[in-house]
Amino acid sequence: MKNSKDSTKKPLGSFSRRDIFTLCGGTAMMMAAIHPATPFIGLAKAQQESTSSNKAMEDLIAGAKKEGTVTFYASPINPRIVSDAFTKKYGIRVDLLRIGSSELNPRFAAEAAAKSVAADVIVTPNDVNFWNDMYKEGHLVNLGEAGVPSYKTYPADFLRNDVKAPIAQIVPFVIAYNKDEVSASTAPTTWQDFIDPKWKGKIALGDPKANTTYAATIVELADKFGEEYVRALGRQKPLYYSSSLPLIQAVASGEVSLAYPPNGINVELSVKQGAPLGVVKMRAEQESWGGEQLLGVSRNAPHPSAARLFAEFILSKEGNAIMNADADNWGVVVSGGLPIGHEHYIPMKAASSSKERVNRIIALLGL
Amino acid sequence: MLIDAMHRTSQVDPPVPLGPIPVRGRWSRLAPRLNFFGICSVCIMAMLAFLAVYPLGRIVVRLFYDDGRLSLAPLARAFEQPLLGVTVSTVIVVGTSATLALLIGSLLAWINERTDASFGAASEVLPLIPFLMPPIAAAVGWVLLFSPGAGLVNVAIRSISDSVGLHLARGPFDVYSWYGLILAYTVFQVPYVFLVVSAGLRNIDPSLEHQSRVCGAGLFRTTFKVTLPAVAPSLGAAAMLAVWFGFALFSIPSVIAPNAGIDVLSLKLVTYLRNDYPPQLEKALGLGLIIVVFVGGAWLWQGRILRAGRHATISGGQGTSKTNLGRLRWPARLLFLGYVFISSILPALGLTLVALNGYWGRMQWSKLRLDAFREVIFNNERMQQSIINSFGLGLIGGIIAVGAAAVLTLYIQRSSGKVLPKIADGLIRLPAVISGFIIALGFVIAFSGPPFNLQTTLTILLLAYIVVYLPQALVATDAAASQIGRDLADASAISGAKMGRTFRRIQLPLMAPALVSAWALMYVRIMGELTVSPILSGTRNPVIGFNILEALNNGSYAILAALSVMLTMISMVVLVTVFGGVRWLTRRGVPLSTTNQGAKRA
Repeated sequence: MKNSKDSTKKPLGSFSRRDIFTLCGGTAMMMAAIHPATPFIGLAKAQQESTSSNKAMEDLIAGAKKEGTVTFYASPINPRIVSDAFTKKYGIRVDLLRIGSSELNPRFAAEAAAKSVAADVIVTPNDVNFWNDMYKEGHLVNLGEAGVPSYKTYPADFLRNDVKAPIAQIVPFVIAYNKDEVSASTAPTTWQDFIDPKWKGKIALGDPKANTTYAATIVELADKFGEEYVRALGRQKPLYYSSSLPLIQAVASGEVSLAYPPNGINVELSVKQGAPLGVVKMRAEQESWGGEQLLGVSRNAPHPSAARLFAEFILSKEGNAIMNADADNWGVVVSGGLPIGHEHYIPMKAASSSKERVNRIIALLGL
Repeated sequence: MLIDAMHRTSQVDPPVPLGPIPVRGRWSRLAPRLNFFGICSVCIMAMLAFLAVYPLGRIVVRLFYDDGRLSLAPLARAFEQPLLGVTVSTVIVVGTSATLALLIGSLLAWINERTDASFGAASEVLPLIPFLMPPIAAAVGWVLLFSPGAGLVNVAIRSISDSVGLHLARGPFDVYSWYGLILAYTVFQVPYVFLVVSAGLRNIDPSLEHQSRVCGAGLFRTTFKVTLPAVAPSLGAAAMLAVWFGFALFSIPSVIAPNAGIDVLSLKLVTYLRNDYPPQLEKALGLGLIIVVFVGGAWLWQGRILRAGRHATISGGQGTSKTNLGRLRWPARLLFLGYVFISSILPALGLTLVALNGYWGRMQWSKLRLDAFREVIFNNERMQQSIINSFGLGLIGGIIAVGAAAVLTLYIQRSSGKVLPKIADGLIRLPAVISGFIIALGFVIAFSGPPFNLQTTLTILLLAYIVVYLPQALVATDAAASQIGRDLADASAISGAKMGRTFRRIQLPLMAPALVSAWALMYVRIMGELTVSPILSGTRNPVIGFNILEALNNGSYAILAALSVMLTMISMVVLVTVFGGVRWLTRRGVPLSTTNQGAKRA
């Protein structure tokens, strides 16, 4: 307390030796992060750093192996592939609990409050309240301080909320169509096509009353194209579904012709079974957005080293590519950015939109 | 004449003080005098009340603390939402469906139990199929069949009508409608009515009906004047269960209501809890209190039926005689089979077809395959463990809950009017009107950490299941106890038997049919449990509910269908075995002869 008072009293511009030291170190590290081969840094120093980071990594791996297991609460559709790859690489077992975010979030919070933390690592959608609360209450660590090397080079555009949680996966929101009812050439390729009256009664939407993410997908459309767009969408007399599976099955069965937003893996599974489903490819200039799955590490993780190593794996190029290998999901570190054709990605502002705004949108739809 | 006969049998004698005359003191008004059985009952009761209240308290107390001070502001905020529309529509749906379920369920139970149109053990289990199916799968089943565009039944009807030149674009049925929602509720509620009323019918004294027929009353007169009043407690309990589950039901409206444009309380409540982080407890509280009013009202009304005591009670000495329906026998059978076909076979068939087809839609008749079943059984590492766990929890949880419910019911019945047991009773029933989701969160906060450290154990699941489902068992045992009446127990006590002995030798065997149905109810609910499990179960204590949710979130309708069909079949086998076993024992006269001898000896 006293120290902080002293430091605020210090006249601006006067730096202690330690401050300058920190500043230089920080800058050097930032430079290194931006461009590892920056000529400002002497070769010897770079080598020294890389050996020290290698040493840190080796220690992390050794510690993680000693713990032998990591508990992973995951809401993405297919967390199994990345877990298996991790086990294969390090021989550390992943205790995987796949549950929807509406169970995962309150469960994680209640367990943390009861001081019986089970999850080492969580991956769950960007729900601003949840992430900020968990960080404020001290249940999640800031990965910058946790010693997760890949986090330091993570693209800053893809960190979210107070805890600066990295996006492990983006699930793009697209439109699925029934190939028996609609041909690829007549399927909508712009958002304006979607409100063409010819689709009246033939559209399925995620129910904005049942699910915040679904509400956000509509709010996003309203933000982008105005409230009149949402009114027009309501005039299409869509059918509403509370989760992805019924939504997909409605379009697969021909009950409707179009569905927004389907979940890639549900589509993929149904197509494998012979369902006549296609996914609309929006034209390149069309904005796209998606559900963002963020990664967090428990502050009181039962397996702290394994937790950090697993987080490191998911955020590394290798792990992130594996995690996002199927179902058209995007990993932001795979190619150092977004897939070609999706440079117009906008982070979902709607994830933080107010209840009033959501209610207004629901009213505009005529619900 | 008839009424006289009824009255003679149903007259309740003034309660006889049991054992030595108690010393009257200030405490005697609060709690009844204790003996060994009483002490055990009180311990069970206290433990259950603690389990029900403590976790809930941990959550609710937070709600009423504003900045460290107790505040009632949340209660005011709970009602700052439009409530009238949703209440009215819920009452319409639940009221209509409960009435229909009471009619259909009682009729089926009567045909099966009291007439010669019964098919034996098979007809005891057939009407229960919709109840063995996880409700979410049943709802999906209705959509697969009666969705206006691609519903399998609609498609079939349209192809027939097309062939005779009548072209329909959609329909003729529409599950997304008032009647669709109400009928889906009804089919869900009928098994509860059927179970409870069957148990009641099995317990009434057939000599009453016999007397009535001898005195010249016809079939219908006897039914209305004798049989119905005799099973009044069971009908009351059945109506209570139907209303209660109607208000609590979430899975079916979540699939059907949004597209029917109908707002339902339970759906809205669960959305408040699960859709937002942190859960909107205040708003959920507002809706919860409305549900409390209706379910509480039903409970009080049921209590009045039980207390009225104008129904026939068992007086020892039973025989079995069944009404001969004569020419009506086959129409009754067809009615029975017709209901079973529409409510059970059709949706099960729909689910199976979708499982074989791989997805819901254009049927690929030449390519039907078992992939979905294989996926569910073999490609799921935790499946076998989940089945074993759920089965064990259903078995043990059911037995514990039903045993506890029987003890509690009788204890409450004996201590009528005392304050403390009444409070405890109310507390134990409280979880009935509170979302299982909240109770599960309370359990995490209360028991997962030190000093209990129950996290990821089967024990925490067991305890939570018992707390959540005990009130349902109580409804069934209350009805049974009321039907037995107090005469036999009093007679036994006068003859010097202790309470424990009376319980063991008289009340328990006489309540057996009701206890078995109560157990079946618990077993099935625990087996397909979906609200508590996702919060309390994990990789070390997996249960089937998890797999169902997984199929819903992450699989396909084919996998959900395969899983549900399999689960339904497992439950069928279990129930047929148990019911068959009970029938066999009853036919051999095991419980009844013991009772009769016990009663006679007494």
